[in-house]
Amino acid sequence: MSPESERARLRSAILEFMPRSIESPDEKALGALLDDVAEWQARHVPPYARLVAARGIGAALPTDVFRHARVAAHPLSQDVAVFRTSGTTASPGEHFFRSLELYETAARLWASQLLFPSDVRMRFVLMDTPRPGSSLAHMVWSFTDWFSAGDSSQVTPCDPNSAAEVAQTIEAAAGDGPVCLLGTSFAFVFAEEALRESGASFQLPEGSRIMHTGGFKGRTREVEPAHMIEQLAARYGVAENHVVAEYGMTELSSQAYETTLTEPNTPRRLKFPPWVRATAVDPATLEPTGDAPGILRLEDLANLDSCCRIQTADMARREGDGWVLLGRAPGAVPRGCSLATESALA
Amino acid sequence: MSYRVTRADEVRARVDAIRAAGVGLRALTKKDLEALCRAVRWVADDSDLRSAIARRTGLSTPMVEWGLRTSVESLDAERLLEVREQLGLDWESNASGHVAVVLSGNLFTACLKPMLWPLVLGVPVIAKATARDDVLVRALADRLPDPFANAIAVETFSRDETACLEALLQTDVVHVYGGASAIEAVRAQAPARALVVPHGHGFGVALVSSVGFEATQADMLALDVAAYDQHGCLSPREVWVVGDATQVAIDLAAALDRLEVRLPRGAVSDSGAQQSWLGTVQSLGDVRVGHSSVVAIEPQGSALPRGLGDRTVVVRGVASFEAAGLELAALGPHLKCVGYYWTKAHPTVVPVPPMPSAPRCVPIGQMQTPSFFDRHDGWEPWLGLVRR
Repeated sequence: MSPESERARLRSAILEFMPRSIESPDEKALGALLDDVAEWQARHVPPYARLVAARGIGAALPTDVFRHARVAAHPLSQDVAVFRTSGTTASPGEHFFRSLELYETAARLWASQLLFPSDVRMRFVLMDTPRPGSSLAHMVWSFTDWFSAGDSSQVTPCDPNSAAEVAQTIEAAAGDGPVCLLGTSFAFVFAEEALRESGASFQLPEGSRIMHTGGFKGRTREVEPAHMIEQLAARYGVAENHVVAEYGMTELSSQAYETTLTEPNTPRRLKFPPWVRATAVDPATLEPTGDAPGILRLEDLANLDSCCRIQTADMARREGDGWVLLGRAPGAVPRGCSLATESALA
Repeated sequence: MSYRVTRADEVRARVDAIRAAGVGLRALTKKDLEALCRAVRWVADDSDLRSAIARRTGLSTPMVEWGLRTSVESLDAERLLEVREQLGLDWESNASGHVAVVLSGNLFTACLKPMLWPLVLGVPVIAKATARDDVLVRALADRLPDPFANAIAVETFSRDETACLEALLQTDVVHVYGGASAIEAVRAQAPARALVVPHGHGFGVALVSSVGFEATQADMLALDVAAYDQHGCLSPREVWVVGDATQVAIDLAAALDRLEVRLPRGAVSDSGAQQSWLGTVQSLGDVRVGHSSVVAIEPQGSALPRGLGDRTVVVRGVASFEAAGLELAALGPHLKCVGYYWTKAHPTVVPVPPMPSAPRCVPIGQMQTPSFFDRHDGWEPWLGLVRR
């Protein structure tokens, strides 16, 4: 079978598996399909091929590799999209897509389950201008197409530092049914500071919700998650269970959401779609830790044209059928006088 | 009215005490210097002390023993006396007051030069050490004989205790070891008259020819890589090869494995980050994973992320020594050491980057064994200690 026909077979199998697995999750079938995809990728994605040669087919590609090499089974000429990381390091990571079909299918299917579980369409307010070229930008603009009550061209990002602009945008959107506020966690923190100063607060219509994402990596302020939920719920007048965190990354094609909208009486946790296998592993040995905290290894079927097995540096622990994020893996206390930062050499 | 003695008052009192004891250093004799050298060797030979340092630093005990031995072996009373004579030292020519040494991020042996040179040249010295790495510096202060014993002191206090630091820094000369923020903090607090000598963080690069590079050369380079488990700023993080980089990498990996028997690696500082780095370089290039080391060979045309220390090194090919010289210069002041190896067929001038980086340039095998008398970060070890 040619690489092309193998890819076509895998693509069909994944597209068939995704909606079916929502109805009836199937760990065994997921594992088999992940193995098929990984084996195909080990033949056609050079960095993954090298990793597999060194560590075997079960190896997960560190996210850092996306900063240093092209992780793709297809040539540059077939790229239809490139998502880039925020560039907090010298060289940003890049994820090259030959097609956005799987990405969009994954995003729509899982958001329909956990972020927009009812058919109610709503108005969108973007708390900041999504960074062009980011996977988040593509996702939120897609949401406004898929789930918006109005024309997506009417969705205008606001400046979170301007209380007047935030208030004006929200009030305009809230006049006509439920509203979804979307933005990075940090944009919400900026908006909170501006709104607190101006004294503005809102009572959003029934069914309104807030999706925040990204945490506070490398930022000047940090807010305890529980405190942030309280603040957001109070400021915008929504129930706390209508504040939903999203977890995603440039190197993946699927996202996880907190389950609070669909399971308001269970502990707050992130749930990955059933076409993603999440495992906590020991940072030093990469062996699974079971229910103990570890760094997340994520295997995402929707990453067909890059690498499905991704090793993150995010600490997490299992919580029932979901996950609680614990931040980035702690680094060691620097010893000696050797320069710790890579930037000086890179 | 009650008066409470603060920590800063205590530091001030210690400074006054060592300055008063400085009188005893006015007329040092050869006998005094011999006693000093003996005491330092006694400290270095103390097996309990080595174990304590190993526990604090995470290095293996043989590595600590090697570090101590190679750091003090060049210490020689005769030569110290010669330096004093060459400098034309007498009491009037010495810097007045005391020398302050701030140790906030350094190898455990880094305290030896800045603590001992002032004493040899007749100047009292006080160090601020970190609580997590104060074993050797305290042993030195405790075990030196008269007339040095009362002219040396060690204090530990936190960064937030700025009054203590200010008291310590009331001097003409300050040596500060640490990262950029530590150096800046000292500069900001030192009096305007003080000479602040920074010893910032950095790294080394080895530049070798593959011609004639055989097991002997690989063993020398392996020692440079393995010494102090790359915690030190002279450690080569990269090996640049003119010629066959892959063969040099293979030979180096084998040599690191051989060396592990004699100088075992200690605890890995951040095993999670190391694992992630290893996975990344395995995805990008050819990697030799040894018993306690990783040698990654950089593929043509794409840069590998540099290793994180603990015996991880990237080997990359360079077009020529001339091209390497330009690239070394671009590394700037963080480049602390260049180790070189080439045969007579190649140029004999090391393409040294210009000042202010002034790295140590030595043949491979000597990158991490500077003599007590060598320049330190480009400066003579008695910088600021003698008034001319």
